[in-house]
Amino acid sequence: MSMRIKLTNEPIAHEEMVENCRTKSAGAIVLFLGTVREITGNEQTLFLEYEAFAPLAEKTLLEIAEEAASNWAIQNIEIIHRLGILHPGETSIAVCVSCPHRADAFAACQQIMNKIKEVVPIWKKETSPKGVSNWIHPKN
Amino acid sequence: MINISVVFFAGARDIVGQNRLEMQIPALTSVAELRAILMAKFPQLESLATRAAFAVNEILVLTDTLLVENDEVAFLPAVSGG
Repeated sequence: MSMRIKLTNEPIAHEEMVENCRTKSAGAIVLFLGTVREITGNEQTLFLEYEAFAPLAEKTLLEIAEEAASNWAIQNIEIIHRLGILHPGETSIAVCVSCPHRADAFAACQQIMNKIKEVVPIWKKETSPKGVSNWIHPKN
Repeated sequence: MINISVVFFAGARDIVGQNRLEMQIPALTSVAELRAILMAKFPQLESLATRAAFAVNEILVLTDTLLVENDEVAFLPAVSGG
């Protein structure tokens, strides 16, 4: 099994991730892309800026991947989170998982994303077209 | 007294005005006590501080952890990655 974790300031090459996860022992590859949404409620986003506490973020991503691998029959797994400034439509996160069967791959991908949103020390700042910027810190 | 540093991210850094603070605190101060010291020093930090997680030397810790000389504490406000 291979496990790849990366934080990057470069655009995420998700096609490469799929090929990294492809293996003859897998019958399913699930790729999740999180992309920057332009409209949230009534608010328009001009761009987002992501920052991380990198050493702990990488460690936490690896723990999340290891936990998923202990719960499902994961063959390969790759997680890349983008940092810096991103515009609507760009990919902020990509999670790719290969498993013998699709149910495991979907479930693993879902759990990995839920955990990432909950515990990985990465933050985003939204900037509106009017130039108003706010760091997002969920209240629950 | 011991010397520690505290690193801040995102909205917390904006409130504190810098990403790293060198501090002298009493020996055997816990992370929870440090949080109270920081809230007293920066009242606007309160709503972030009550929901913040803390890491010491890049490892997540519980708030009853006692700090020692040269520790680097990371103040981690509620996360919003993904």
